[in-house]
Amino acid sequence: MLHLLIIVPMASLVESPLNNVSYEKWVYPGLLVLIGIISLIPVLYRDLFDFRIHKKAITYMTLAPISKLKLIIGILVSAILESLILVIIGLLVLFFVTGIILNWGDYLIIFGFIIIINTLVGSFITTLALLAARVFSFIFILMIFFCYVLFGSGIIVPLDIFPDQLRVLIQYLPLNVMIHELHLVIFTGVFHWIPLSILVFIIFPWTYINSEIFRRELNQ
Amino acid sequence: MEASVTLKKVGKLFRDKTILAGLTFGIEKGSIVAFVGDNDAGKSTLLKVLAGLENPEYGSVFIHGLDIVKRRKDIRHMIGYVPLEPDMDPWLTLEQNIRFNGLLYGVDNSTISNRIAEYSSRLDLFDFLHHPANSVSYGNLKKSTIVRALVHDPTILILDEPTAFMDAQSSRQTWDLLKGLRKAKTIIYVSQTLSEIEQAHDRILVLNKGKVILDGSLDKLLESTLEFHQFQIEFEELPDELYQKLSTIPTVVTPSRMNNIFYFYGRSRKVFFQVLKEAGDTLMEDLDIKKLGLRDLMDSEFVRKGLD
Repeated sequence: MLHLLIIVPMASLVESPLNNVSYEKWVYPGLLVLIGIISLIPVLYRDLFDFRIHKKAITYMTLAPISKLKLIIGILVSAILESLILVIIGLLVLFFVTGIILNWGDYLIIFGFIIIINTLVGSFITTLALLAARVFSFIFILMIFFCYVLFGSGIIVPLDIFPDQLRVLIQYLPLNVMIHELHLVIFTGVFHWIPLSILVFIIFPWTYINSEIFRRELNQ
Repeated sequence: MEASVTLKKVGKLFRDKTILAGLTFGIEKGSIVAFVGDNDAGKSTLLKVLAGLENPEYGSVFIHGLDIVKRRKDIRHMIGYVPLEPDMDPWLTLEQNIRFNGLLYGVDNSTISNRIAEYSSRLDLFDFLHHPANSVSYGNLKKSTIVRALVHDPTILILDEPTAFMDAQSSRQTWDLLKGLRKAKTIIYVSQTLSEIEQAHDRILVLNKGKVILDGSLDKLLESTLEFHQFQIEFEELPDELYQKLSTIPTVVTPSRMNNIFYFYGRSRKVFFQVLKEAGDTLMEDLDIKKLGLRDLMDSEFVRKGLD
């Protein structure tokens, strides 16, 4: 559906965004990332919002002799694993729809990036799910975030289209940096360690902060 | 006797409202202790504090001598908690829910299987173990939360309305199980079913506005009121003048009426004859005398003012 409703019409609007690569090929890794992000949302919503606010199943789990940090990491890792399975299914569907196939090394790089991006986005959704007390505020903020992912992160819409002032503002956002680096690695072979390392390093304190938010929200 | 749970000036606030007001008491190991009280008395909050689900704002709770806040990790495996509302993952089966929680407590799979088999057969839950949690009745969900709380073999079992949503037979099975665990485990529970409390307790704590106002066994609590009886006389017609006249008899305590029925308490059966004498020729349809029980004790006016 994503391919038919967004990629096909966008392909007729956007010319080659990078290194003479066709738009369909350029958008392909981003599309897999997008599938990964979308599939994260229901799992984290269920485990950290619904099971905390409504069904209370996670509240009971906090009585077990394991730390909140381990619980948060466990939920995040299981959500990422579930999303990777859905990405693999999406990859197979995309193969039949577009016929695009990359080499094994590229797929490994894409999956590596999806794991890092999903951990970052997952940490954001975790923070949101833990802080939101009402389903309305959770969905509202998530929709704004999703609009940004769809149109402002460089996954579907190349940043070259944006006005210079806006592009300068959004190109340094973590997700934009990751997507830009992913495109660079896949289509030009250029790999920058430093921005990626910074983003990976952010994940650790963020996960810890999430566990503290969880502890405070539960008043434990 | 060795204390299983000790509270020292435990207080809990919700915004500017006091939920628990500096509670200090101990609970003996292996005893069954019931908390009773009106709605909003702080019973469920107290259970959550004892279970470690919520921290007190001030004061300390000790489980087998260990501070519940500072030694949280050491205490977790000692406590089993049954919440009021079943809180299972709706997409997993009852067995998967119970097993998952057992694994979180580090219990091995075979031990979990044995305990699930033992407790679910005693609670007649076996046939439902493989059903998803969202497809079984609340009564069976409640039973499965009891099995879940027991799967890691805690020494203290804390239950919020242990037989809520259950039919008569399930309630009986649950109490048979819980009474069987007496001595081996300390059982602390909250219930609004006073007949259950009368049957199963070593000690009753009556809570009112976050304070313990009565504490002891039922016999001890009723000691001061055991001489009292509750009388009930149904007249064919009870005019206001007669009601006023009967109410002013000095030995009649806390009189009240409902339509043509006159209720009162009295220290001896003699009071009854005094009332009959005052009633004179007024036609009566029914008479009833009963000994006071926990229900009467829980009568708020009764608890706060006493009979004298």
